[in-house]
Amino acid sequence: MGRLHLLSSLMTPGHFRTAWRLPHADPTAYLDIDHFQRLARIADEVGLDAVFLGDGPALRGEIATAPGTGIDPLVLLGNLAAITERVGVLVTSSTTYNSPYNLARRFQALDIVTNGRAAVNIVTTHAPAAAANFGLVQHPPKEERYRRAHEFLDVVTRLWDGWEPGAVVADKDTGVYADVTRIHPVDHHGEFFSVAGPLPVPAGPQGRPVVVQAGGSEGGLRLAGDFADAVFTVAQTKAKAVAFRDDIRSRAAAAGRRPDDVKISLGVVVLVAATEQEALRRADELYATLPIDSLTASLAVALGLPDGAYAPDHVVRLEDVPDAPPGELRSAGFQVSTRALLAEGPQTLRELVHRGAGGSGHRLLVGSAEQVADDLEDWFRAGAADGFTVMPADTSVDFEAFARLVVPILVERGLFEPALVGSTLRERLGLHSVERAPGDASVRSLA
Amino acid sequence: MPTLHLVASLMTPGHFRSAWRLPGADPEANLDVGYYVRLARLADEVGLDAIFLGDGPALGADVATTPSGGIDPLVLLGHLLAVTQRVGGVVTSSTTYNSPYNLARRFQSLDIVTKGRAAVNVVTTFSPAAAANFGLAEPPDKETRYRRAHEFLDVVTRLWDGWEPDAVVADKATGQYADTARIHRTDHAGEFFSVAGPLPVPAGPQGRPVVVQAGGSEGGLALGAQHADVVFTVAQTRGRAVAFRDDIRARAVAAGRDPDQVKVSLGVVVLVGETEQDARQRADELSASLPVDDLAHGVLAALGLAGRDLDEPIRIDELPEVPVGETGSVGFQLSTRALLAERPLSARELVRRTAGGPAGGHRLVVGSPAQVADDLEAWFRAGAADGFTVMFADTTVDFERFARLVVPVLVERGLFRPAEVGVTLRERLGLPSRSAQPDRSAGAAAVTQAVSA
Repeated sequence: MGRLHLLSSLMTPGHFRTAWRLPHADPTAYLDIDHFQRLARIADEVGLDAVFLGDGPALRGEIATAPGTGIDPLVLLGNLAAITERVGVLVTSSTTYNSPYNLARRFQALDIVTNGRAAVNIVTTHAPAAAANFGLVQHPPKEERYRRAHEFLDVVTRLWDGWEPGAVVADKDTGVYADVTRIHPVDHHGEFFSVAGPLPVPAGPQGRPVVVQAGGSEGGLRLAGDFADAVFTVAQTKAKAVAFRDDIRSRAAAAGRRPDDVKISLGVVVLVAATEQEALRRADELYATLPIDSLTASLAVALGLPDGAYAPDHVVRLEDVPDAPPGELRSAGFQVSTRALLAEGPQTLRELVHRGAGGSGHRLLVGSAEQVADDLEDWFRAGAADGFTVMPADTSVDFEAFARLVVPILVERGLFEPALVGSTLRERLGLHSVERAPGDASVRSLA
Repeated sequence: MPTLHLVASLMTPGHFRSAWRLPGADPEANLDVGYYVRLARLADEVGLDAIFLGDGPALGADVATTPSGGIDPLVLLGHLLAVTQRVGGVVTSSTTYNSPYNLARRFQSLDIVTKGRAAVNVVTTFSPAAAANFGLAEPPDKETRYRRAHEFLDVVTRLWDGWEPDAVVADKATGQYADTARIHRTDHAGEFFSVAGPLPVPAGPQGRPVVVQAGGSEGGLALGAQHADVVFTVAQTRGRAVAFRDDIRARAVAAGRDPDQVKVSLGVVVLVGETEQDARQRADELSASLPVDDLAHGVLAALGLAGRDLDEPIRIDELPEVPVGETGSVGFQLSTRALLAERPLSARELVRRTAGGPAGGHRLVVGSPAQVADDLEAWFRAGAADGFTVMFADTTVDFERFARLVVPVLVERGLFRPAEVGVTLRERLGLPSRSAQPDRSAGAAAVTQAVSA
């Protein structure tokens, strides 16, 4: 049996965004590089595969009640990779609000300076506030965003493949530095982009940085089947997770890839303590920080319940929720995930908010270290995922608690192997190295 | 007497681009992060103000003979600042091929994670190869590029100023995190950009990261006078450098600024020997590695004298009125003209005098540590510059020699003060702090809670 991978989110104050209100919390930790460096060193020490940050390029209205979007994740994770040796970095970037040349170049650079620890989490950005920061009156519709993302990743991967190994000759006698017949432009002309290429320098240790994709809509799944090395997903029930993984694997096969070339990383919010009792007590403290009325109201809208006022204790049944997800209010993955939860039985809106970790939508796992390890093992053995993206409930506590209490148990059970210095992230995730574009006659070279 | 600033270029193999051919050189040092980390730690140790990388987002046409284009400088310098404590980082970014929101956010972030050591060197990028990487058949003309750069920097600085210093309330009892009345949108709608703002997080220690500007054309000078904290320039003669500094200071005054708020950083290529003789010998070795004829032909073409004999001295009165502007850098051309005004030089001599650089290039100083220090001191005392952007003939050798042998001489003479931990780059350069001020002007509407999530 394979081993599971472990990515850990650094989102601060935590996936309970209101965790900054707890007595021990530093409310501006999300702006403090020392805080993030401390966590990154812990991740490196216990051998986590990667640390991760989500992102969207805009300030959101929730800033009145909680820190949301933070420091630019490329800059922040680049800093953290520089002070660590093993742990990979997974940086969220938008294909909607970047250019493929710049993005390809930055991640290639990150791969070079980290000795093969770079990964990009591709998103198409669904925050309408972002559009207004980039000259758009309206946020592009989802279908268009994914059409752009497809073309974007096609260009980016071809840019990464542009230099053949051995293109740098560096012959001091003749003065030939590079063999330009082994450096290939992209010469792309498509619906969204025209990109000549090539990149200014050859590829880093991974050839292509690891590509993660996170969208659960049809467009996102197709993108994942074609391009992703790993798919980050959400599931509230084991059956839904297993079905999702089977689906992605068959899409990869349909796209001419090996199913094992696409890893599923399942999001799970973890609140862990030395004892179950302590974990439950901390969960209650966290629930108390939530603005439950406004979260209840936005959940009711997101689920497509009829207009009206809903108390937190309003009971929702599966049949109350319309079949079709209501458009673009929320991501498709979260919608399907919540429906799966309701299929197990009715829930109050309050329970749904709690089980969705205070609005993150991911499954909340509360317990002792043993219990958390048991749960992850159980889901992994059931084929629900190839590994987990662990999102701490209160990052200032749960990141370290997971690393120091849960990871050793998973190692002892043979389920997790700590990362080693010198292995690339691609190797650690069990991904095949990517063959570069061959220098065949069909590919124009610079010469 | 104030002290001078020292910014050091990491360009590898060096400003003699063929330095990779020397016997001791690692030809792939330009791709080796361990090599850069060693240089950055050395810069940190001796207290240089900043390390610097130029950039253009394209592969250069001369890759057949030299490393041409490097690792993305934001990623590389971000890495180097993470493993150092004092030294600043000057990262070159193009206003032509970036969006202001992303750029403002990245440099604000760099300022936060480096505790106030971030600087952006703003360029407008005239390479046609870069244009083709961003969907353009040809680069925009210079006038358009600078109009865009002006609007770009206007938006970027307003984004940096968006959060008032006390906007984060973080009241645990009431649950109020930020006072949205103290977070200001940009709401910019201009010729090139529409940007709502604000940035997702408040400013870092410098308020605004340091802005460096490098263009010597009329558009570049206007941009520098209005927006730049530091102007990076080229001069082959002291007279030209003094005149340039006087000009930029006068322009700053005309733009309503204190002239001391704009520092001039003069580019100089140094080749340091243990002794003068050692330096001369290394200069000969480096010159021998250059494709001098090709470079000399390039110099003649840039001066509008294509086809001329490479060894025939050029007199200033022979120079045609060069169509300065679209094809090359104006600053380099003016610099070369000033050199020829002093005495005639052949194209081959020009290449040697200027470290094999483009169309004249930066001034090359060859000598012992004391001689290099003497030269910098003389130019500084003459009012030629507020400090220097030191570039290296052969970076793998000269970076360390400059740091270990020249910097201590400048320190001993009271001309340079090593950087200290906890002091921002802005403070070290003698620049006023630019923390966000409450902006009550028209268009600075408060963010409302109605901004949808």
